[in-house]
Amino acid sequence: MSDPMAQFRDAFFEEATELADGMEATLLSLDLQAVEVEDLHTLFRAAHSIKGNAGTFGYPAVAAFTHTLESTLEPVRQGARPMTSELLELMLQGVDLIRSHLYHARREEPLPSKEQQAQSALVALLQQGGAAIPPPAAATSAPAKQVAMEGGRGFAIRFEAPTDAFRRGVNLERLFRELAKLGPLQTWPDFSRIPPLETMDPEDCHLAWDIRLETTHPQIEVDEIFEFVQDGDNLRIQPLAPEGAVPCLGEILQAEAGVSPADIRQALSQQKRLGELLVDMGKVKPEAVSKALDQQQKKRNQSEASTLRVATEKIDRLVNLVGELVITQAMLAQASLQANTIQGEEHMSSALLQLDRQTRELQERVMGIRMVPVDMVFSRFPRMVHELGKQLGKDVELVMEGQATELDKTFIEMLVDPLTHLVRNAVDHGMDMKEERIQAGKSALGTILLRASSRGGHIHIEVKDDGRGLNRERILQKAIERGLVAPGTRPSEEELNMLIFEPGFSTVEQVSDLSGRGVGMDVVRQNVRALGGRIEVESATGKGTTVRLVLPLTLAILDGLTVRVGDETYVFPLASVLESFQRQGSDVQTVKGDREVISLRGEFIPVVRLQRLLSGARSHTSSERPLLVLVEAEGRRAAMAVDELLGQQQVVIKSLETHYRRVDGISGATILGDGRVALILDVPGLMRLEAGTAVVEA
Amino acid sequence: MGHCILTVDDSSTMRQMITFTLKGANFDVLEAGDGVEALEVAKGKKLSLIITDVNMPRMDGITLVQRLRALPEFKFTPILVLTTESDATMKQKGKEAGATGWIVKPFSPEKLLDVVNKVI
Repeated sequence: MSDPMAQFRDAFFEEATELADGMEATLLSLDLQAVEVEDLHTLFRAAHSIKGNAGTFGYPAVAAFTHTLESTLEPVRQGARPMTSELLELMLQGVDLIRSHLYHARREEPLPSKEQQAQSALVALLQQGGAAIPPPAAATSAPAKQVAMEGGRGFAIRFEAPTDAFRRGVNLERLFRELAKLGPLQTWPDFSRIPPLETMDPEDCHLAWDIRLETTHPQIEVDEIFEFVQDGDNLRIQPLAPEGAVPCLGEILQAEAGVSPADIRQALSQQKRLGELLVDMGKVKPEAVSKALDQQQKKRNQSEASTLRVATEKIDRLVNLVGELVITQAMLAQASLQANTIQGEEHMSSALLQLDRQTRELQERVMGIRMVPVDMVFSRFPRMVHELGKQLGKDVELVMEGQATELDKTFIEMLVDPLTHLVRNAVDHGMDMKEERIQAGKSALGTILLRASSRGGHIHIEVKDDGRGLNRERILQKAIERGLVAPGTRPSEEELNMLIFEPGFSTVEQVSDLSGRGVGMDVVRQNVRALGGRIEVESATGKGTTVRLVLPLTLAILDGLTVRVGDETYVFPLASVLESFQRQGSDVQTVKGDREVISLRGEFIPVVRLQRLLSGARSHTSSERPLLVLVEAEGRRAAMAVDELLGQQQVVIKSLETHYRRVDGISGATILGDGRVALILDVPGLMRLEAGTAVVEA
Repeated sequence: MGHCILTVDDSSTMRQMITFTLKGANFDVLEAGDGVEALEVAKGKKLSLIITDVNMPRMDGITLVQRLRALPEFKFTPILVLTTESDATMKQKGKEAGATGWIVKPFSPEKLLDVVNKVI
């Protein structure tokens, strides 16, 4: 059975998650010395909204728990209870529990017992704290009344009149008349609560009703009508499903065929689930059913992971653009009919121009669909830094910039781990202790800057700390120990910096329980490479370290420099190209047999012969190639010998692995405008290849 | 047939305000200064509603409600109790004694008529 509410539930979960994130962000930004009242109101409103919505969409457990948070916040925002660091921690735990509630509710499973316990403990703590300064009696009941559903379709009401209704002079008829004033009313009296005559007190009231009220008035007005007769749980008011949703069968039968809600409830209670029925029939074992349910859940999770939230605005622009394309197509068709006239040619060329512009825009916009703000990764870090700082006894503040910068969704997902690791490292290793900081004349509060920015076709993501900086001596020593650097040689600063990304490299003597095991940094490099990006490190002793991830805008399209080498066309990723120049007769020198180097502004740079490297072909020297392209990757440079520069263009990357197999030095292939295939060069890979052959040949 | 309402309050200004409002809405109004007086005034009358304050000398509102409910002619008569916001428990007490509902002080004439219309 498909669930008509499902689409609204998704929206509910997304909104509730955003609200929880918002609560966390607000909590973390609270300055306990000077709490902004507006922040407290914001927190309260968020809890209140989650509660109200959870109730509406049928997640009472979520609603009940957020109600506790809301009730805790009420006296706080009224100024009756102070916001302490203990309460702040409890509220943060509360936010976690909301998330966990949402996670499990989304999968339609109960909250695991471990979290149930955590919740009970938390609720107890929250209420205990509140008891010290009890909230005003009226305040606790007020939020419940504020659940006013504005602009709904109406309410389904179950009302069981209090037993003493008659004896208290309650006018039940008046109550229905008041309700009818709000909108069309349908009622189904329920006499099932009337006891057998011999035991009945004739002055007791045993009546109950199911009521369907169509109204746009808020729930608070309905609540008011029932004010004098509401007693415990004898009144249940639920909003009707929003307009546009497909109504449940029961709802239609109620409205059209006079079936009472009590009948429907009874019928539904007899309904069994498919698995239970099959087990009863002896067709299947219970274990098989639970296995199948697991499998179903897995599929459900997968479909969840592969969905993408796109701003309506983006879709609207696409639709507009397609409309324009249709017009252009009509223009082209028209022009082709008058192909041989001057006018026809004019039309044709203007239509083609338009088509060109539209195709390019379409490409950009379709790619744009995959783009999501980096905030999706960033948003998890304030909490992490806060907690890490606490754990390590460091005062650390996280500053974030450029959260709105957009990145490909795949990147966002793959960046989570590397960034988590880098931020952790920055707090754990990079940041110095308070005393050291004060001694060094720095402010006691350490700052970690997380910044995303878009720079000429690339996205830069920086993790910058103002801590102690990399200890290059220690790195060098360690590198020599591990045989990464030959004793007596002194690598450049950049090369030393990059060593921290070598597998198993950690200079920390004492491994903390957070980082420092030397695993991770190489994984960071791997992930970033897999995304076609690179890492840069800057560090100044005593001043801090900056790790910069330079990423292409998207995985699917690359800005490339196409070159010809012999009969082949290759594409260099433009990001790794520094310059290209014509070789002068004698500036390439041969060393070690047939290896070549070029001296460029006082630096010796190896010359790479692409065809020899890739196919093993023996070209004796690079001398027949008149041009050199200077490329850089991972702090190393090389000059690639080519015949001709064909041009700079965007190419669509096709994976070579899916169509052929992995080839060292090649990251993919693309199809050129004339239909030919060109290979895209993997510059760091080529350098490793070149270095490899150098070792072999040496 | 006009409705007759009995208003019971030891504050005469309060009684006057209630009487004025209710008379303006075409109700007949009787007044009493406390519970004891209210029982005397109510005796033998056909009342549509009784509105009583809680804190009064001689006999308080809650006791009055209990005494009225014990009388056959007032067994099912709507009774409203005047209470203050801070008296959350008072609503419950009134209910247990048999009051139909309550009006929270301070209230406006409109609110008073609203609540009265809810029970008559």
